[in-house]
Amino acid sequence: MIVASFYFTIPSIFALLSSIAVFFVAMFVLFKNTKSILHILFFLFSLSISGWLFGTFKLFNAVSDESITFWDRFIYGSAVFISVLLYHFGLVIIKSVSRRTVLYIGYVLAFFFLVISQTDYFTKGVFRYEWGAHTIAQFWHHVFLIYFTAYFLLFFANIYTYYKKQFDESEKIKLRYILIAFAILFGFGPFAYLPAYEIPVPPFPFMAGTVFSLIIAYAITKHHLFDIQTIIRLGTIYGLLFGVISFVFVFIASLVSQFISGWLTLLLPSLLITLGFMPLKNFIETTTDSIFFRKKYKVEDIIKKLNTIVHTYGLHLDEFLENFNRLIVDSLRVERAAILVLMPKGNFISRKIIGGNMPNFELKPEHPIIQYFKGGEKSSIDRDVLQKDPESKEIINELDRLGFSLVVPIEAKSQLIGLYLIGRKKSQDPFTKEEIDLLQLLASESGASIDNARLFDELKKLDQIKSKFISVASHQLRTPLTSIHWNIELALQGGLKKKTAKELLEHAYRSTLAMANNFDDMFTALDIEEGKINLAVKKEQTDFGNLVQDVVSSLLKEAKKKEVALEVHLPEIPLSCAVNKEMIRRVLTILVHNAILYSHPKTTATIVALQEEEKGKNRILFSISDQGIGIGEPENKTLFTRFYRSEGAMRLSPDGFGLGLFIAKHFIEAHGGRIWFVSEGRGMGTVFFLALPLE
Amino acid sequence: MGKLSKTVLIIEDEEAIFIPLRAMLEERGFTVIIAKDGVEGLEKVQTARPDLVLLDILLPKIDGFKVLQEIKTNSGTKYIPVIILSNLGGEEDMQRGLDLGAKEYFVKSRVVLATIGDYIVSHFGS
Repeated sequence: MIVASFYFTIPSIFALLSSIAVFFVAMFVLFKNTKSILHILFFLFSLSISGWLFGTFKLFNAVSDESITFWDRFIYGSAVFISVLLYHFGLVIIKSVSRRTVLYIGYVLAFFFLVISQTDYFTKGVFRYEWGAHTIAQFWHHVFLIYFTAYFLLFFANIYTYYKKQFDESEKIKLRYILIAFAILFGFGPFAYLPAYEIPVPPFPFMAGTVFSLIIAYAITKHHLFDIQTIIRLGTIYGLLFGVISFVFVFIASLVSQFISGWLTLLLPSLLITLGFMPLKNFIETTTDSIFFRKKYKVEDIIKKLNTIVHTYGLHLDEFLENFNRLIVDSLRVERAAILVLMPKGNFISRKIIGGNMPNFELKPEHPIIQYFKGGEKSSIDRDVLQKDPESKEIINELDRLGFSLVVPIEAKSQLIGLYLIGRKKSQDPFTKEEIDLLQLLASESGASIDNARLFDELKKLDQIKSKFISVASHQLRTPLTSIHWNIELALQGGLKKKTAKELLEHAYRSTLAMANNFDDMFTALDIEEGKINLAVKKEQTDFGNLVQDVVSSLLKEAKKKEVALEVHLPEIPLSCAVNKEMIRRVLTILVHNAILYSHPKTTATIVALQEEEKGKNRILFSISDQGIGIGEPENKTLFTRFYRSEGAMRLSPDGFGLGLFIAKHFIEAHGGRIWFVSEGRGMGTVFFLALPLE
Repeated sequence: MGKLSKTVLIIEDEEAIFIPLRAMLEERGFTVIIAKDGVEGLEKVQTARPDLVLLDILLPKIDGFKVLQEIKTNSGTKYIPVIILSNLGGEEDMQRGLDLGAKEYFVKSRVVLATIGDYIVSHFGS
């Protein structure tokens, strides 16, 4: 029989299993990131611990003096590095760049003790006691203990001072774990050395090593470096796999060796294992998952789902965002998430928010979070990580105000076109590096699709505006055309009284003027689009009061027809200013005409113009107040946009391009001024204000 | 022109349009009433019971299609013929008008007054 005989006791099995477990933990930590010094140190440290544990296992089962000595020295060989590795690890955690000399001395001494530990100057002879056996300490062992303790104490001192200096609660929590782990090690560890001094000790000290490793590993996860749950899960799976395979191998081999001899006895179990490996691994994986670990997301699944979303919703921005958002919220189990998309004006508007009953919100291009990403290099904002940077206070405040803790940029064609804001996980755990990587991956994969969808969305809106414009324009122009040709048709027929003919021609004439005005408005709007207005503002010195009076007298007839009274208040002194007369006259005409048009009959529209000082600067303030249809929601937000006419306005006067206020706003702003309105709501009248700077 | 002549109600808000229209119809012997918006229009349909209605679509207060619907569902007025005179030239609008019960749909800018006059005289007498 090939199966060797082992003397299995519980402590020795535990030591063996711990050794294997710590070994696997070490391997996975290393595989996660072979370049990080923290990972490498932890790997080496765990390797030492694993060696110590394995040696302990062998030591428990050693019988002869030679084997006891051999395995005990094996243990010391692994253990000499533990304290200096721990010290180095501590230096990395507190980000210290000094104390290099102390570190190098530590390593040199470690190698020195490594060599010495294999000689009789270190330990000699064997002490047997109830629970095991141990070699006996000699001179250099005492020195070693001093060295070992010294570096442990230095590690502790560094971590403790760093801990004391922390203001940040989350940092303190991380360090607390390390200190607790240290306390356990220092509490139990030394007992392991007692047998070297011929003091018998029950076999528990070595467990301190395992517990210590696991606690340090957990502390590292709080640094967002890797997910302990993944490691424990993989460790369990591969541990079980290893166990089952070893058992099967040994069992089959010994069974087969009863009938065949030679190398064939190894062939059969090897064959079985090759064939059965994958199904066995899958089986163990699914079983452990269902028993121990909640169903965790798989990256490949998420990517697949994302692709489905892209294909299904392609160009429909809102549905795309809704499903994308839901996918993330469900996979990562977060409290809330919002996607913001870039709008033509440069601001970012939230399109889909899940969780928290938040209304949609907007971030202007000057917002600190947007500015942060404008540089183009940074990959994501994690509130807890950014908190350490004192310059990012504004961003932290904004994130807290909005209720999110993670921001991932969405880019397309090297441009920032969106932001993904994610709240905390429901479990309140921090986001692991894996999860942040996943989010960044998803953001970059969907960037192009989101960009296409939003551009398509914009295009649809523009198309709608264009269609609306065409229908409004064609109607606007057809009315004066009808009037012109009908009135002239009749006038040409003859046989009419002179007075009637004159009336008809007057109507035709007024219609040509109206048409000219409409065309003018249209082309002015186009010029504004092309940015030509700002270049063309030729100013001349004029009296603003005179302009007001001109406009009012030109509209008196219309006001009378609508039974609206115009009241004008101007100051005694002239309101001298340098403006483009035509443009300002146009603006005033638009405002007064609107007031007349949208007033209720038999009411008064009051006009006031004066000069005042505002924040040290002189300006002309003009206001016109009516008792008309007023301005409520939603028109108050879009009143100054092209072609916009509120419901009330259209009901009162269905003709109208909706260009007046658009033009007025641009003309005033070209002068450096401002136009705004105040209204209590629909039916409550409106006051429009103009402010023109005098300097 | 007395009670023996037929009455036409014009529902149109633009003065520059209803004045020539009225002149043309009066010349052909019709009595003409004007309403300047949808509400006034419905009132006058009820009170005056005209023989024909000329209806614009883009009106203040309520739009012409609603006015048309009202006229055609009201038992007292549903037999009054309605002709739509509008500047909405789209196919769907024209079809909608006809579906709602209008006898004819003219796009004002595409027809001369004489055409409207001749049509009315031939279909509704004078």
